[in-house]
Amino acid sequence: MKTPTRNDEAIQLLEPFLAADPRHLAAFDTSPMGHEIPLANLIDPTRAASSEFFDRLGVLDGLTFGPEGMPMPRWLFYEASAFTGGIFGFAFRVETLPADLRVRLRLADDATGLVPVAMYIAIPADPPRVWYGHNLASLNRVLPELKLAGLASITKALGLRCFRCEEQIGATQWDSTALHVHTKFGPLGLLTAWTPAHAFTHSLTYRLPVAEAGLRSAMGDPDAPPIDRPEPEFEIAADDHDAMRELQRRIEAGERFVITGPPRVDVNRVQHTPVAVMPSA
Amino acid sequence: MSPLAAQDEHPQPSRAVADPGHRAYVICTTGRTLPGSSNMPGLVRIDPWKTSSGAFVDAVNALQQSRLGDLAVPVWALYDCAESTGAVVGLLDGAGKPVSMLATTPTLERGAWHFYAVCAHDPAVLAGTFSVAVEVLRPKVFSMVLPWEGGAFGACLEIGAMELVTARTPCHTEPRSATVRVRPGAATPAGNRATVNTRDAAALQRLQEEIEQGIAYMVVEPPSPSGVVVLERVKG
Ligand SMILES: CC(C)(COP(=O)(O)OP(=O)(O)OC[C@H]1O[C@@H](n2cnc3c(N)ncnc32)[C@H](O)[C@@H]1OP(=O)(O)O)[C@@H](O)C(=O)NCCC(=O)NCCS
Repeated sequence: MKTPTRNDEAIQLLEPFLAADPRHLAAFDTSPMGHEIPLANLIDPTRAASSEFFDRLGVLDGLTFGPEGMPMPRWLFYEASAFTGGIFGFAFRVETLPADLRVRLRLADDATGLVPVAMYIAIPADPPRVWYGHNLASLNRVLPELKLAGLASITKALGLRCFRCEEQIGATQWDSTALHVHTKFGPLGLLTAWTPAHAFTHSLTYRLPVAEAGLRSAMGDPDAPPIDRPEPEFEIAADDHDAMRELQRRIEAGERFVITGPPRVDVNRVQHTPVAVMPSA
Repeated sequence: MSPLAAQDEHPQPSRAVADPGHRAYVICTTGRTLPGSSNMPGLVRIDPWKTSSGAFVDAVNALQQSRLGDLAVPVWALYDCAESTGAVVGLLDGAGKPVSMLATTPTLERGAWHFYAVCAHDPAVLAGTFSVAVEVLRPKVFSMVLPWEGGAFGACLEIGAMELVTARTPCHTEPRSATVRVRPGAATPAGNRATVNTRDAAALQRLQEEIEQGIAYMVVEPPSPSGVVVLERVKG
């Protein structure tokens, strides 16, 4: 049975897909939480015929990450995504899309097949248990007429299950709206709070122990068990680089912290992320 | 079954680092196990999750941007896909500056790594850079995407037997590339010799179609200056 989501109307119109090296297929759950990936939607990146689907992943990335200044070159979808890990997502069939949307999605008049509208990309960090999620994108905000609310959260939840991920690592920025999505899955352990090795030094790196309660809660299952969250002790404001540096200094000195829940957005649109101190290991 | 998988499960210990003139470095998280690192005294380890890594990582990014141009790995992607998940390895000059690099990501197959963004200011240190990667990670097998024109076929064939996974790769930025899997220390299984002109688009397409039908090819020699590659057609 399909685990319900907060937007089953959209999910019913969409089809899940997985792009991954067929050599690795046995490692994936191809029916994550009952949302079965049709055989025809298992995309083999080493086949020449998959090229058009990769074009469309590029369009999805361009419409979402392009404006964030982090577009992904095509080869990365192949080398550091599908060939090494997996790209899980949801797609419409071209035939079901109105003509004006086909133009916005840069589809040819005679296009057929799947048009991805959300994707979660992860690669193994310590296979098969630990994965690094490096791309989460959804057209919900770009194409509100499609009524895809909740799609990024649902995609990440089912993607983590599809990858049989037990621990997920990822990086994002303190001012990113993605923190609203990632925190739905549970408290996020902080691995870095200030990250000079990243293109954006105000990035944080987090570790999420993946649990059933978090996945179901994030995808909006009304019967999801509650998530344990520690009480926040302070907040990091998205424009306070000194506070990020100080937090990083304390992490490097051996202290441990978690982001306890979603950020609060103040009247000036500045994001404040709640943090708790954890007992040291 | 892949022809490479049929062989010895245990990789040969690789040769010692080929380049005695350079110290090696590795950018990876503290928790990452590096099976061969104890063989490499003087290996410099840089943790991308520490603030102090910033200047060194900047120098590595400057190196790849100057050598790889449009095909350089975006800085965020090198952080996500290699430094935080796998490793970036390379060689240092006497002053401790990176002179070469190779990015690596583990794959879902135990002991199998993907190598990419290989570059150096001086091509003479490329072979040594591959040696460091193989020595430090001891991969059972590593994969790479190599452009038929100018790809590091020679350096990879020095390391072991090379299976062809794709002959044309349109899902990649450079469709005229091969995807290969190299098993360090392994010999190419015997089969039937074949040659293909990699500048002939139709011939490459035919080769790709055969691979998609399940026919297995090993690369035996790097493409010649005129683009002809020598293959061995083996049992798939
Ligand atoms: C960020 C992104 C993935 C969200 O996709 P989505 O399908 O709208 O996400 P969801 O609906 O599942 O969840 C978004 C949550 O963020 C909240 N949110 C708050 N401010 C927001 C904002 N300015 N923009 C978007 N979401 C916002 C939403 O209210 C929602 O929470 P709720 O479900 O509790 O209401 C999508 O907008 C995107 O692709 N952005 C560009 C790429 C990116 O930044 N990716 C994340 C990188 S790690």
